[in-house]
Amino acid sequence: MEIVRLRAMNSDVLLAAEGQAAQLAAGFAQAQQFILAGESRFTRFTEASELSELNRSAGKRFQASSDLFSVVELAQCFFHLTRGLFDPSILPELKRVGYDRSMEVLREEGPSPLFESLLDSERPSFSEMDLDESEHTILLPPGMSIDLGGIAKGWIAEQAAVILSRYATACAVDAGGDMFLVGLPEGLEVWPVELEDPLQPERVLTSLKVNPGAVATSTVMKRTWKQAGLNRHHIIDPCTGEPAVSDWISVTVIAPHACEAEVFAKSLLIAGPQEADEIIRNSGISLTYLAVDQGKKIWGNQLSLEEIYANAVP
Amino acid sequence: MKLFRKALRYWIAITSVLSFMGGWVILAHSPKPVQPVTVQSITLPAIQPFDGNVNTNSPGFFSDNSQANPQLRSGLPSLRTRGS
Repeated sequence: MEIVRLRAMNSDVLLAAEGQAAQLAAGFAQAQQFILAGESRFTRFTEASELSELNRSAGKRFQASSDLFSVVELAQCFFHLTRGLFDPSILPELKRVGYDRSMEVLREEGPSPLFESLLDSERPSFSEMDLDESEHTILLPPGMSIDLGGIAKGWIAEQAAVILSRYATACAVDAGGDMFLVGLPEGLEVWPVELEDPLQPERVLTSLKVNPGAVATSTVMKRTWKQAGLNRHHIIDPCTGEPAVSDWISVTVIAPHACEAEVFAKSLLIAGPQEADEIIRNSGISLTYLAVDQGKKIWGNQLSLEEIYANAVP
Repeated sequence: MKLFRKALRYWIAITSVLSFMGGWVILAHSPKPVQPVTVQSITLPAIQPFDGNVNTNSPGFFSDNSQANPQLRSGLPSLRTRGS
């Protein structure tokens, strides 16, 4: 299996594919090109990105590219499916708690002070966003700005894997732990995927066998910083506008599509054990989840745990 | 007066029954309470890593069966989901 690594979307990205070398080279080139183009389109950290343009256009109809429109449309769908737990319009809250620059810059320069004046400001609901499917236009209500970080990363990983799969018999795209797997490597019946220990990242908590599809993990242990003496992380609870307080520290979701895995990993992490099963039932999507708490206990619904156990590497 | 008392008695009886039935209907159509939590925490038995460097004496799933930087079989990339 041929492997290419690159740095994109503030993550280490790995492309792996099996097939004829000459064809794979073309596949890798196209997939990389797509990832880099996607990054520059969806990042909120540069003023020139299409997402930043969309955010500046709040109050006016914005003519979106088909890629941006697709991801925003998916985001709207997931907002409703998760009953608002997945909410891209929490960007003002994310900035208020200090995540107003890329994590690399934030760690280097330190977070911004807490802008208490923004605490009482009300923002429009994401449900007020209007999409025109025929014209591919997006209308953000005045005052709304959105962050598509995770869902865009999942979408880019899946699209890149689909591109790569045209040149390969089996391939994987792993974007900082959010991955999409196509086909199966020769001689294998499943993909082996390690689950990193959220409390000790140098260690592996367990190893799973995963069928072709998507895997994503959300954790409150990775993108963390201190702001005015407060511990902060990047998973914002839309109900409070503050970093989520959950019984779980990490949730991994195995799903048919990367966006689903990414969105539900985040939503279940916010919801915690009290609501997790209901959210999955309401989603109507075939999801397997595995959550880790502070004591490194693994949680999930009975069915998921049985599947994961059955799929565990022997 | 007697007629008034009788009418009052009937009125109280009928309104009581109607109120009870009305309450029943409202409750029957109200949103269901939160379902009991079905999420469970299960400690799984030991699962060994991919290569031959296995701690076969590992007593439990969450103990020392994990290891630093395990290698997958040759030719396969090390796919690791880690969260972002």
